[in-house]
Amino acid sequence: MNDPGTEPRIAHLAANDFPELAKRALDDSTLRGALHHVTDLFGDKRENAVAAMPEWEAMRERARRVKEETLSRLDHYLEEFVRNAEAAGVHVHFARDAAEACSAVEKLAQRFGAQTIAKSKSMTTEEIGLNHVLEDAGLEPVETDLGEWIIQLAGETPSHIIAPAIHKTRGQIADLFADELEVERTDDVQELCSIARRFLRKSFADADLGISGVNFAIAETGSFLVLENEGNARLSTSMPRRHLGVMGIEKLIPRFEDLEVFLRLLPRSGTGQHLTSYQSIFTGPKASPDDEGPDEVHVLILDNGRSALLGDWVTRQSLGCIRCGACLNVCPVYKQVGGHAYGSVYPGPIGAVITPQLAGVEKAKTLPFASSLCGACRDVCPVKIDIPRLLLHLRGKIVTGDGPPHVGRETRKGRFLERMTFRAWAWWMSGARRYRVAGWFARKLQPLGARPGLVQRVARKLSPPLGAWTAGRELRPAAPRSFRELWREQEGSR
Amino acid sequence: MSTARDAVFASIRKNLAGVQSAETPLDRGTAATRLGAPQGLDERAARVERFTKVLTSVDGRVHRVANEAEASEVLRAIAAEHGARLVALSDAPQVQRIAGALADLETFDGSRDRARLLECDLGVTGAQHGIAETGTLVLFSESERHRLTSLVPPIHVALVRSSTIVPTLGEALAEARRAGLPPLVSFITGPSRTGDIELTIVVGVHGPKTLHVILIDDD
Ligand code: SF4
Repeated sequence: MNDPGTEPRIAHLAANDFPELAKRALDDSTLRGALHHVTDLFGDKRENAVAAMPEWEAMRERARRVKEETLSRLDHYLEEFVRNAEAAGVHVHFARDAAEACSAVEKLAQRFGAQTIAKSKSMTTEEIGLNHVLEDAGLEPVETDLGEWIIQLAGETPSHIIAPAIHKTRGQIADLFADELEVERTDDVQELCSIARRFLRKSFADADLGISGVNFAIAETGSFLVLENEGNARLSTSMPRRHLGVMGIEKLIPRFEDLEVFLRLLPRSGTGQHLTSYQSIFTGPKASPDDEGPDEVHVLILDNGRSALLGDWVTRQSLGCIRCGACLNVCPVYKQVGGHAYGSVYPGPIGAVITPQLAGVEKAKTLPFASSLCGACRDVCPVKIDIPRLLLHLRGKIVTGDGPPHVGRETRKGRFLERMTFRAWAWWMSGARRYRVAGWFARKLQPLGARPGLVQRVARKLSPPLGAWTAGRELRPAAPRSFRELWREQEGSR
Repeated sequence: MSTARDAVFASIRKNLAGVQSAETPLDRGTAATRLGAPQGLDERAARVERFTKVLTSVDGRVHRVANEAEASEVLRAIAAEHGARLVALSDAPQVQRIAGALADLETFDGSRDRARLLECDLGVTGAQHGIAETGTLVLFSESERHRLTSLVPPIHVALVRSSTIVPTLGEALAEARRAGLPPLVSFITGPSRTGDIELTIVVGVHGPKTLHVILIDDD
């Protein structure tokens, strides 16, 4: 249940356009090539890293339990975190929703007299659409993670949780840099990285405020942790005089020692690394005036619809997510359509459950259906979130609620026909004779199925929902002989 | 801001009302918190071996020396290899001793002069610990001013006593707490890297392109 007066919101949301966006993505062969590349590579690397960890399953169970314990007593742990962070000299701020969070950051930036703001990768600031608000206020937020910088230059949103610009080819990035930065065009990846290094160094030096995400916040010590590979988070949190970490209320873990298991799980699940190149553990501002690092450390803790998920264990689980991206890489839907099709900064299986839960099901009512429920996401999730279960829960909410979910069911008639079609199907298939007849027909009519478009036309005539269902699917060939026939033959030959 | 704080806590409490964690409380300080920790790293030799192997596999370069005089020599060779002239140093005494012995290099305090830091060729810091499990360096901000010297120059050379290499991540975390959790604890494993363009791995996108670790066996 959300607090009245708050308005949980996800920026740039177009989640109800999934059917449209997915179709567009399927027609984009460059995108699909890139998607295969990223999901296969990360998937394989993850698998190898996991295979080398004999205690993997026990680690996942431990992580799930740590998160469940934290979330079921979140008021307690959050209080502990705030107390310890403040004792360490951190300024702690809260925001009920996206709008409040953005204006809190804007006010802080103004108080600091900050013009340039160095940002390191943070999904939470993507969620609240922070950059736009800061830009509208005349400030210059600069994304410093290479992938995030690329999509900021291109005016796009991330398409993968841990590889935000993976939908772009080096050629496209070469054009982008040449146009936006007025540098000589090169599509050498090394060169492109050097250009980024050169340009962003200036931003770090100019920045009066560094904003980072938070991977884990530790209640016991008031510390928070950022993991990365590039070093941009280290620069963003070392060069400017102020550092602000932005986190959702769910980022907590109870104890410092709990980090150990999560530090083993997260990099392996995300990129298959033993450990990312850098972890920074922040506990308060610099201890003496002539030390290095920021004078002030701030933390902004965001609700934005999260607390409403705490009441029920099914929905509560989704707050255990550590944003590793593993579920994206194994998802048969994500692999085909990519991140932008989801119309949300949170794509893939976890996006399909988080987006409707945070923004409201009516704003993302097609996403819970964008899944085959194969369960691959659940099997790889390092905190064992039962994503298929959550998807079913959300589907139930959508179907019993007032909103009709998607194509074919958009009308009363469509819903009625769908129900009838499935009833007829169930009746027909539950009789042994009828089942046999259906099999015989399927084999006999098979050659017709090869005629392009025919099955679809017939299906659409029979029942519009069936037509919608067959639009993007090909008919699987039936086996030349049925199991019953084979069985009879075998028995006969004995 | 206290109104937002109160409202968030109120909403959390309201939604958690009646929620009982069905599970038994978590066990602490036992094998459960250490799951996945590698075994067999009790001997220093095993720790050094694993540290070297893992760090090398992520493009770190490890040099083992018997004493500080040898460390100076290796540092000189590294500087020569990269053609480095201007060298930033952290303020750790050991770093000052080892790098200060190199008269042919121009050295300065990396935390003091940002303009020079951005120009320099190489940065030298110590590390308070190594982690055998992951080939990681652990640096505490209160032991030396390491933040920028270990990060901004294109080459980072870290001096580590091999006796300070701990077996696992868990022990490194425990050491950080024992040191009173300084404002920043940095874990560094290999050079800076990115795969953000077509997943091609490029080192040195923001931080160092090259990481050298000089392991000193003098105790
Ligand atoms: S749901 Fe699980 S697998 Fe997916 S991003 Fe979150 S933690 Fe990773």
